Amino acid sequence: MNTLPNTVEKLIEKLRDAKPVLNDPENVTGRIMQQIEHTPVQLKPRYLIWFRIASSSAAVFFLGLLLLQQTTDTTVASVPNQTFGIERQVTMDSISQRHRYCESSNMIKSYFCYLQEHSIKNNQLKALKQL
Amino acid sequence: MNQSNLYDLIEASKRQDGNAFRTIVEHYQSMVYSLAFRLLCNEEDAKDAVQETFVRVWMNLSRYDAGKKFSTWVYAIATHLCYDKLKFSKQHYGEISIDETVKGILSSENVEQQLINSELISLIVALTGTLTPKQKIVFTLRDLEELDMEEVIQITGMSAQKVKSNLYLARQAIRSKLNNY
Repeated sequence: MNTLPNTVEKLIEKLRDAKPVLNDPENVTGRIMQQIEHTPVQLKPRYLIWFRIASSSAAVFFLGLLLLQQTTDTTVASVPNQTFGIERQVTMDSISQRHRYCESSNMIKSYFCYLQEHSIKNNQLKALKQL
Repeated sequence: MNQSNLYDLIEASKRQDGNAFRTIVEHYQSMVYSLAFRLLCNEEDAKDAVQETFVRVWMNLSRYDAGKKFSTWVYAIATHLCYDKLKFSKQHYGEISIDETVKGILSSENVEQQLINSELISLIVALTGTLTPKQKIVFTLRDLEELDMEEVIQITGMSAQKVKSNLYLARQAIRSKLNNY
């Protein structure tokens, strides 16, 4: 304001002091009241707030569950003796045991195959020697 | 009207109390009218803007943040409404020179002189007719309504830098307009 010339300052001062006068305030108020009579106050959309709370709680719950699952699975895998009691742990344990059984039976099977293969070869060698 | 009274009236209005809202309207309508008149330079448009502003205030009362000044919130609604009207208005004032009426107003020594609305319109149009809507709003809020910078920032939603630059440009335009006077 200080940089403005005196004329501008004077003019702005006049404008500032000369407040526009509302000639018929009652009429304007009446029109406003008439219009709002049929317009309800908009309430905050509460269902949105509840939805927001519910979805964020669910997200936190599932995240927690996931983390819990992850840590428990590690424990089960590292300490097989703790796999009794809780059903889920039993299931995990039985799966791993089954896997282990399969693995060992496969090993035995492959060993038998190996032996069988060698016995055939030995027999062939014997037959060759006899010739 | 003190803050606790106002708060009670707002709370009552939220519960659809028409009488409480009427008190709010009666208290704030001259403030809104002054701003709308200075921005729109038309009595009827200003009255319409007042009406529309208070209907919006009524409808959005639940969104009012009690931590902020109620007048600032009302000013913000009125300003945005007038901004839309100014932006889409087909009214172009062009280069209106400072005529004899304005010269007469200026030459008068009595600062308290009450200008009639038509004189006021010609004065405002002569000074701010060529300003952009943003410049006009910032100039009106800061220099005519005498609001502080923080309030102008809150009302317009502009950054401090933008408010300052718009105000500077508005003052420059007015000064250049008065150069020939």
